[in-house]
Amino acid sequence: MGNTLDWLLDPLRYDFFVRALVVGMLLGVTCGAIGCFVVLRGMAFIGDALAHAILPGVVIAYLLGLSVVGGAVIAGVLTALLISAISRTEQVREDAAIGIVFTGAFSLGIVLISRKQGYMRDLSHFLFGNILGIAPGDLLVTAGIALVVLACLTLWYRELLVSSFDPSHARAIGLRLGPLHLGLTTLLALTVVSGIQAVGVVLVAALLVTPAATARLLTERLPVMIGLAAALGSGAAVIGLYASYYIAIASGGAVVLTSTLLFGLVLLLAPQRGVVARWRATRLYNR
Amino acid sequence: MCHGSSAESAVVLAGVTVRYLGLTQPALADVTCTLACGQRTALIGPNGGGKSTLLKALVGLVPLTHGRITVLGAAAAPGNPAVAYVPQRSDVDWRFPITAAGVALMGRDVHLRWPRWPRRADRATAMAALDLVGMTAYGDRHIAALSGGQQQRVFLARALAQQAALLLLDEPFTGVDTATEALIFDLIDQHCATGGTVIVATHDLASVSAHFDQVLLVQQQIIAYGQPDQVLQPELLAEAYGGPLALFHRPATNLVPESPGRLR
Repeated sequence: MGNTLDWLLDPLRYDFFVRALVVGMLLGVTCGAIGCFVVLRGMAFIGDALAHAILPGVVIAYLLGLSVVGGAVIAGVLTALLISAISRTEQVREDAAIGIVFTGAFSLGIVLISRKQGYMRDLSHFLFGNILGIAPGDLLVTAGIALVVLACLTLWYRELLVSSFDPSHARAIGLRLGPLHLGLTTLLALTVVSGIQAVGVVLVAALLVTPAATARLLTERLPVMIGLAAALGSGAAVIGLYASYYIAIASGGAVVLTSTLLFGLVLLLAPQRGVVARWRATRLYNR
Repeated sequence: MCHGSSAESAVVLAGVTVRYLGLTQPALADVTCTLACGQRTALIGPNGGGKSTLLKALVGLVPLTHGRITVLGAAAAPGNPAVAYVPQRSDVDWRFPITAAGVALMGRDVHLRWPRWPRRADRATAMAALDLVGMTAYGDRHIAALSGGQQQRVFLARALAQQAALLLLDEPFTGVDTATEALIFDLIDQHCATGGTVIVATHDLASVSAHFDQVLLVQQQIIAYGQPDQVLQPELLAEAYGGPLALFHRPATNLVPESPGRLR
């Protein structure tokens, strides 16, 4: 027992590990919660695209000596607006519009950053994140974003619920779907910005999608799904960080891989929707 | 239960034209009519004849190219708590995590001010509405785990939970069992008996005479409006639906409003 406690407490001697744990759990909760709406509204591709499209904003802000987070958020919102403007011309499908805009924006970022000395190191931080290198200031930014995102999801919960389930009814009762969707996309951009610091552009979509999709397999109720996704997300962060400490593996990858493994387990073993449960149900039915 | 400045008319359509983007023919062309309060009105006509468009226009969901619509004394616009609309069921996301009780509770949102968190009384109203449609025992079920008839009952419960004066139902009998059909007719009768107004778009011409006070026959324009026996005339139906009966088409009777530019 004492050994287990030591095993848990040992890495907590390091401030960077404590900060990583706090950021990981905050991100787990925030990404899990907003991820539920991302999964239910089929916005996973937008989340991934926003993560990439943020690069030019980050680079420009960095070169001008401005707030990197501010630049990222502005780039994210501009991307969201651009995607919706292009798909509203009805000449291009929305998924194609997303593909065009985010790769274009990402390329702009690469071109800008390539003018700088030693850019590969910066680019690799952007791509893969550095959760063990979170500065105290970054932690505050993550906490602030978590607060804003969770508050907005709480205050617009009914609107998001109704418009995701039944857009016609939402319009009939006077909800404005365009601004609602744009607002959600803006929150998504904020969330993605804080996720990038930890796990990078490539993996941030996993924080949004995997815990929420896992939670969906376990419940038929949205509030429960949101709670489970938040718990699964922050749980995966804690397990992944300890794994990366003890067996010396990349922390971002360890967090996401933990989440993926949890999804696999639940997909197999979930009480009603799991593969095993459904196989047993059909076997009983056929007998 | 009918209120507003024009106490006697639930719905006033004045020269209403709806033209969808990219289509040459308007969905509705210069429709003028007045529907009285407290009546059960059946909205009939061929597919694509404008029934759904008319209902959506009453809710303010489609922009009018021309004309005006007044519903219960106010201009038709979304977000009117006195108007409850049950669209065709195909629009919802059936994989969404929500129970029957959760769907019924959505009938309360239009009454609530932001952030629209439901109160205990709202939950009670939603449960009472589920009870009215005989779905109390299924409140905890996921919406997709119900049969077509049960799903229609739940969406009806959502409209009832709204406690609206005007009920608009778009094809509520499609894909439901006979028990549910009978229940829907009962609810329509009760709603009107307590002063409410109901407009139902339906394909089921056989049930119209027994269950409705007024019939509105629509095919881009109003072909006829009146009591069931006046409207359910072979010539009028033929005019609306086309087909072989159209051979016996005769000049407009007094039931048929003047209609220049008729689709024919």
